[in-house]
This record gives sequence, C-alpha cells and structure tokens, in this order.
Amino acid sequence: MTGKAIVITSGKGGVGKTTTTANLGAALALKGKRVIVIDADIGLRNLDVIMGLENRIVFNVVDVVKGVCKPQQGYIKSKRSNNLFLLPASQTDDKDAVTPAEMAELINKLKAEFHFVLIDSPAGIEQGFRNACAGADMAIVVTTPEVSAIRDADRVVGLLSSQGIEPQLIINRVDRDMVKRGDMLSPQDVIDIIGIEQVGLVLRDNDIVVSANTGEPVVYNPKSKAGKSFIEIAERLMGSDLPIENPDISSSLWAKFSRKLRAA
Amino acid sequence: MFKSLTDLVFRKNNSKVPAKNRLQMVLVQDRSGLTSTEMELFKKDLMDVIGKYFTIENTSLDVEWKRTDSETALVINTPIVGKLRVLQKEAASV
Repeated sequence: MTGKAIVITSGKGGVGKTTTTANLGAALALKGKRVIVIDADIGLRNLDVIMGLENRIVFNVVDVVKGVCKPQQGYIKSKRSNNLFLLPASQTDDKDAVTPAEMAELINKLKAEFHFVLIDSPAGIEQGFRNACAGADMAIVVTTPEVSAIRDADRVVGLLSSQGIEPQLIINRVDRDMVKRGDMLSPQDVIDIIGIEQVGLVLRDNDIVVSANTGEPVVYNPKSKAGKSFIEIAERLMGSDLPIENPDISSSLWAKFSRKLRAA
Repeated sequence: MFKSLTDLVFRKNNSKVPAKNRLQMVLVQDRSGLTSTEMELFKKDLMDVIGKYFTIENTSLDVEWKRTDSETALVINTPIVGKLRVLQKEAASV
C-alpha cells in the first residue's frame, strides 16, 4: 500500500484544524479507508480529546520517532471504527523534540500501512509547522471567511507552494445567511483572494461545540450540517468530483426575487 | 454583466466589500515583501518607466501579486490615455 499523507494547517490558530483532522479521519474511515491521524502539535496536544481518546494514551509520536516503543504500540484505535487510529502528540516535550527529517521518515513508514495519513499541524509557521509538513504529499489549508484567518492562510499557501506541496482550501464556519446578506466573504471571494482551489466548505454548526464536549466527531451525527460537509470533503479526497454547493447563489427563484425586493 | 451590476447596486454598504479591499491591499504587501512606503516608490518608478513610452493616467496604477496554481505573478494594470507616445514619435520622424 502507498497511502497519501495530507497535512492540515492554517497559519492562524482556532480556525478548526483539529476538528477538521478528526472529522476527515473519521469520514474516510467510514468510507472503508484505513486512516491514521497524527497530532503534530507537540506540547499542546488536543486531537486526543476531540476524538474522545484522551484516556487511552500510553505512548506518543515522540516515543515512536525516538524508538522508545514500536510504531504499532503508539497508535490508539478509535472507539467507533476499526479503520481509524490516532498517534497522539507528546504533552511534555518541546516542538524541537523531533526534526523534519525524522517526521518525514515516520510518515513514509506509515504510508505503507494506511490509505491516508492525516497530520494535524500546530498554528504558526515555525518549527512545529515545518515538522508537520515534512513528509506530506499535499496540504489542506483551513481558513474561516475572516480577514485575519485569510491573511494567515495566504502566507501558509505561499510557504507550502515554495516547498512543492500542493495546497487545497477548506473554508470553515460559513454562515449562509451572512454570506447572502453580504456581511461575510463568500467561499468564492476567499478563493479569488487566495488564488487556490477549494476542496470544500464547512457550514457553521453548533453541533461542532457539542461534539467537542462529548469527544464524538460530528460525522457520526447524521443530522449535523458540518458532519455532512466533512463527509463530502472525504469523498473528494478519495477522488470523487462531487460538486461544491455555493451559498452565494440561492437556489430558489423566490429567494432571488425577495433579494431584489429587499434591495429595491 | 447583470450580476456585477446588481453587486454594485445592492452590496455597496455590506461589510464584505471593505473586507475584500483591505485583504487585497494587505496581501500585496505580504506577497511582495515590500512595505507600503517601498510599494509607493515602486509604483512611482513603474509609472516613470511606463510614462516614457505611453501616456497614462498619473494617479491610477493597479499593482497586484496574483497567485495561480504554480506561481505568483506581478500584474500591473493601468489605462492608456490617448495615443501611444512611441507611435507619435515614430510618426513625427517619418
């Protein structure tokens, strides 16, 4: 097997990297792929709590890289799927506990065993980011439709491109009503500004908060809007050409008509 | 055409317009690595060079660092006013 290694990154913190990593991992596993998600945020681990696996951690990514344990002893199987594994970050080490070369070697090994290796990058563009990108075949840049997040995403896209890693965009926390009012940049605006393709958008959804509370990714909740978005993105990562819904254009005639009325 | 027209009429006061404009300004600086003062100097020098050959509006020179899939391009956009100076010179020398 030669799997695909995808780093999930953003520049700015708090835009949804960890949530995206957990949910894409869970969605790909639901589709029958063998997936490992790696928390590369050494010193500030969080992917474990988002996935509800915080009580099962014995070893971590630093232990695996340093040979303290075998790789297979480092992964934790998820509660919901036999196809989904987590390699947690160390909470007690520094960002420079591993080198980009060591990370690349680890990811290369994992690609032989998994269809998808998803790497949750820390915020920022320093050593932690460089470690997370080492060994990645492609990158998903997560942004929200906000000025500060887009600016940082643009910077990260530039850095990734210069390293020869193809970046694709996920626009997170899109609020349909605000986009329609013109008070939120639309996904198309964001794509125009940053200049790279999107792999999907995720609608703003209160279920994300609930899912973080319980440690159950939203893709397991069939009613969740965001969960549906993540499943669609997973399908696109598997090669489907599923179209991306554009909230800028209302589908119904009535919506178009009423918008004109309102504006007149 | 209709869409851009409705955009102009209906969305003038919406906050995404300044968001987009501000982002585009700040990204020119980020992508080029030039400060706003350096950018003004760069624009002035560009206008001097272009002005040697073409008649252009003095005030409007649109400079953009545009990203495509594989590279970042410097895009300069300026309206040419009247006849080209080069052609006028050539015509005069005949």
